[in-house]
Amino acid sequence: MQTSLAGKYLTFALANEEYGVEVLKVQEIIRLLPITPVPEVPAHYRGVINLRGKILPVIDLRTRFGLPIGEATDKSCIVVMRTGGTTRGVIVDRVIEVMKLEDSMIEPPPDLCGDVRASLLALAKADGRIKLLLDIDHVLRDVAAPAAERAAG
Amino acid sequence: MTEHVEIEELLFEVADLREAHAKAPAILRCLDGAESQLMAAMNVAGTAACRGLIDAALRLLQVARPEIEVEAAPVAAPPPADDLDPELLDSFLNESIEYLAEAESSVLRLEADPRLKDAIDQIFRAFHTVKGTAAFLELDSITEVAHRSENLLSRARNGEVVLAGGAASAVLSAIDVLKALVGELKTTRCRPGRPANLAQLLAALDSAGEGAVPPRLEPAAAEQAVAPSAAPVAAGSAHADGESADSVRVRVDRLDRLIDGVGELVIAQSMVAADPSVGKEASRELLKKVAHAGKIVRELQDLAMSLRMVPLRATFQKLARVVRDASRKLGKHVQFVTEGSETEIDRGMVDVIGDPLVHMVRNACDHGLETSAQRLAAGKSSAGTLTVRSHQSAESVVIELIDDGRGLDREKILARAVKQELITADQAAGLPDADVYRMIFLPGFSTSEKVTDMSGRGVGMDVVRRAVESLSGRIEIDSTLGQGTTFRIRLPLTLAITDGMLVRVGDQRFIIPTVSIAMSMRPAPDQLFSVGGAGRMVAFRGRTIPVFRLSDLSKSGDEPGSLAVVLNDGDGHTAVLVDEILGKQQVVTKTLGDGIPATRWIAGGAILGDGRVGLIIDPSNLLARFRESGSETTFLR
Repeated sequence: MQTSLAGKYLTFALANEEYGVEVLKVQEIIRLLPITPVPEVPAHYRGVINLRGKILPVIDLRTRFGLPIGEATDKSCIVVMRTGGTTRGVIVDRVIEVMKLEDSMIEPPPDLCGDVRASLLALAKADGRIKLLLDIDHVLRDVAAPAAERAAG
Repeated sequence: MTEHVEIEELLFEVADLREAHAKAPAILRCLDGAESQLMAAMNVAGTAACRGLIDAALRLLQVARPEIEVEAAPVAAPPPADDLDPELLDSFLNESIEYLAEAESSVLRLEADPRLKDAIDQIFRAFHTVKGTAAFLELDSITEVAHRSENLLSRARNGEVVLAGGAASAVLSAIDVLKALVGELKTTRCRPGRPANLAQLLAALDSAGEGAVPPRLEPAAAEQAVAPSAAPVAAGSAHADGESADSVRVRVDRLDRLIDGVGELVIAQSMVAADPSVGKEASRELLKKVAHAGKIVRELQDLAMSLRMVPLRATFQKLARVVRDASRKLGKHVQFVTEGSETEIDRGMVDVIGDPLVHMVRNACDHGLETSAQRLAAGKSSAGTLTVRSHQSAESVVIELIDDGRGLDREKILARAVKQELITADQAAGLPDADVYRMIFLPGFSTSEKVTDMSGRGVGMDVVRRAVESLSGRIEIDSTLGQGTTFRIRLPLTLAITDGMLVRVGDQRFIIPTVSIAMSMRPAPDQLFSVGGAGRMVAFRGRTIPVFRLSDLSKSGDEPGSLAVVLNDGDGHTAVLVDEILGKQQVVTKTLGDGIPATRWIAGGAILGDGRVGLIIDPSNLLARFRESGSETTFLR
């Protein structure tokens, strides 16, 4: 991890955890729109929404990370992210804030194995809480991974 | 409630008239208008409002009713006095006029800026194309002028001549002579003779550019160059695209954006029209205004869609060439007939359908048609006839390929299928002809005994079928042994808009393209029965066909579905059960994008009237999916 990870992050809550993604990857934040489920895709694809006339796939990060399924609240929203030329929406429980993280606040991720490790860029400590900084490109690119692992196992 | 009876009768009339006027877009628009008025009348509360809408619909209907038919008889072209193929001749005329106009404006552009390499190329291409077709039609004087001009252009391309002054004048005179010859050909439909000044012109073309190259254009020469044509004068400076006077070249992405935008407008308008406050008695005026706006929006949509349409002429022309080459190679005498080459299809479809058609035409020449000796022995004329015919019906474009050859041999196909273990001999006996013929679309299936230069080399009919299905179309075969075969390709009118049936399954809505729907019905309990406890069948037109539940795949409802939508995907009829049919709807097809894994039987999505996304079903892949997952028994017939 040679390059500095310092910069602006959008932080959001998912179950009891707090996550952060680079703000540059975030296109916009929208309220939870009605989602049309798409049959026969992995479970973490919640479906597609109409984003001003364009069809946008939406991913449930809770399901993606194997967290318990949560009820949608009025704080739930969709973070629209652009990675590798593809735009997708990600459902989060609550958007917290955009914060600037300094190098001093960032630590390498703990020794973990598998998909969880690959999904993490680093940990950040701010306001006395741990924030998991996501490698959102990996999270969204490797979206077929959980299903593939299940099939292999 | 008498109004409702009347409305229903009128709706039937609209449907009938639509069939009768399938080729008259103006009348179809009136019928659309009438239909939407009637639909509104059906839903409006209050007799007075209802009456008003019916009357409006009646006025529109008047236009289409047969007693005052306004459809003009097609203007018959004068028959050719000699052996010129009228179809080919027409396309040559249109093409040449266009190319010559382009070439002319390019010469003018070039005179303004002699460094424009692309303008030289464009002029060269124009002459080259005109020459090619003219030579094919044996139009000698046109060929000769085009050929000599091409030589000059070729020298200009190599930098030996600068196309200005005298050289440009020579090219322009050549264009004028060609225009005159083409004009003569158009009126007389006979091969024009040699124009009096031909030798002079040819000499000018050959000697142009010899001697000193004028560094700057003299005013006199410029005037002379511009003089021959009035229309494209402006092209000399401002119009760098070389468009002719009555057409404009538009970038494809802008066109698509326009069409997308109009699609959104249609949806937005239908959302307004569907708003509960519009249908109220108190808002009759509003209803009228909304209906009026809706009419304009639909007209705009028709117009926008027509921008994407191109005639099949060029595609058919290519086929004529294929037939010519193939028949010479095979030593068969083939008469090629095209009908309805003016039928227009979506620009995006032309490329996809072109190669499969070429393949089918080659197949027909190679396998479909017999040799002259065989034909004579069978009591037929020595020349085989291959017809490519196209017409537009209300919802689809039909392209038919008809040969009067030997026809498909049922026994041969079955023998092959049994040999390849696709079916057992027992199953073979009972198969209807249509099912037998469809086997030729199976991958790797070929009945030809010999592999020839042109067919039987693995690119089979399955490729043709896949191409057609990728366009949400379908292909059918009619054949009579000894008398010939007809392949019928049905394509949707456009790729951008899907004519669909909106259905509900549990809490989900899907759009099924109308082109694949044979009919929908509510099967009575005694029509539905199960086979071996697993496969479910329904009686349909005297046969039993397999039934599947969409809810099994969509997981969006527990009910089995009480309505059967009968789909025809080229592999026969299959019924799909849904909970409810919500109505017919035109939707703008959108991709789900690469942000989500593709579900094979979902062709895309569309924004529905309430702003939510509905999924568009790909019928043939849906049925393939069902057949894979379904139990064996569902295949029995």
